[in-house]
Amino acid sequence: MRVPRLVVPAPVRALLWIAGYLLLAGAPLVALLVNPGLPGNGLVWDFAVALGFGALALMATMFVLTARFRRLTAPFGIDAIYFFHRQIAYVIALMVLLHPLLLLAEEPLLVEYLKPSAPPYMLAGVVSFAALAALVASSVARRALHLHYDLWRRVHVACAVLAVGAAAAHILGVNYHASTAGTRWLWYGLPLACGLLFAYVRIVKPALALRRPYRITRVVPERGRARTLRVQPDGHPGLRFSAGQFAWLSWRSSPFAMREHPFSISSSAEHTDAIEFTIKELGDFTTALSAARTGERVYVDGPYGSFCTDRVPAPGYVFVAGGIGIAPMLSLLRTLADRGDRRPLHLVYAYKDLDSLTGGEEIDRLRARLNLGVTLVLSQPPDGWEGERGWLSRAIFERALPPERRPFHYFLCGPGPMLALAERELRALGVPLGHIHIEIFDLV
Amino acid sequence: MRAMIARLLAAGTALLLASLAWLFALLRNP
Repeated sequence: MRVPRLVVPAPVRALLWIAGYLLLAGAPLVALLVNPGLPGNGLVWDFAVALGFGALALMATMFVLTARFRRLTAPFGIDAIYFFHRQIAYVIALMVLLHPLLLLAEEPLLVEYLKPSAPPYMLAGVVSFAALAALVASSVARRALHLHYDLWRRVHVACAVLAVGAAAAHILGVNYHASTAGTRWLWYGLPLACGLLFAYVRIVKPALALRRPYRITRVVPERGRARTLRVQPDGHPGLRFSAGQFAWLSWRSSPFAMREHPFSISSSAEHTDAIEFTIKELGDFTTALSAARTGERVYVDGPYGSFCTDRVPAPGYVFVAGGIGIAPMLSLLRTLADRGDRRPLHLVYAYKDLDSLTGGEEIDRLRARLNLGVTLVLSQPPDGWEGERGWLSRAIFERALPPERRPFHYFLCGPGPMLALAERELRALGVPLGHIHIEIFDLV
Repeated sequence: MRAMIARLLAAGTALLLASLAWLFALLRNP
């Protein structure tokens, strides 16, 4: 007898994951609460100590958040998970900052314990603090520091491992709230769990990827310093994706090397024999990618992301793209075209000029296959241009969008400032927040 | 929308941990 599979709706799954996260983050402090124990050292002192414990618990959850577990990330979209990861980093930074400050306020003599002559477990605390400070600073100011993305990632991972390891060594060394068997396993267990997750992400997953290589089977130059790479699975069935999703691509490096970069898939989800990525030359990696040749091996980690029309059924859709933000839109439009979808669609495409418009010809072809309206908004229009120009605005949306747009859903992808502007103008037009979908692509 | 929820959740997490930390301190210092 077949047992019917239990299908849990996405919002319920999301709530369950959130509850699980809060449980995981709070568990160490709850374990300390129920562990009968040691005498108190004053309200502020113990609060400061507990902030340190809480910070380590949150640091440990970061290893789960960034392990790219597809089941965990799917209900939210992995971009939202990374965004949350950044927000939690600020919470940890605050807690880790308050921890020594409050302790020093209670006992100024503690400053002696911050000198090089201090016992090793105190130095471990200082090392953890410094690693966390370096981690946050290098992430917030990566571009200002001109830190190469690949180097930044290595620094990031090294600092994260150091911060957790040193913090656990600090707690175990102080040996006050780690002196009973019940609490000691906690401070061994947390870094151990982080170590296992780290091994999974950095060793097991790359080893699995090695067995699932892809080959570049076509490189198509596109207008606007972009190119489309077509990749096909080499000796395995490949991956199934939803239109609008993205994947991490490793090119000319092993999956172990941590030199992968995220790119939107631009091909139709109805064709699973190959995947295409339309990539613009914007940084070191994307510029180097201009040397990519047919036959080269690449590795693909994906699909990820929730930028999918399939997730939000609606009588019509509006796509707002800026620059290379057109890539996921091409995937969405191609997929809808392949399905023979006749719902009203509208693409508002903000770009610099007409001559270098990426995907222009493909959009024309898609117009013939779909019920698709297109509005180009050029910041540097050619002479005699009678279309829209300048920045996206409420007035442009009002002119561009069909009158029956009220129940439509809106998908926005492009540079950060453009997204903020487009969202504000659409909100001013009365579009409900729940109808606006944005890929939070600006990771660091 | 999702960014707003993520921010709210991060704030909620901070509040939860701060409350637990305070409770920890209170229980040890009645």
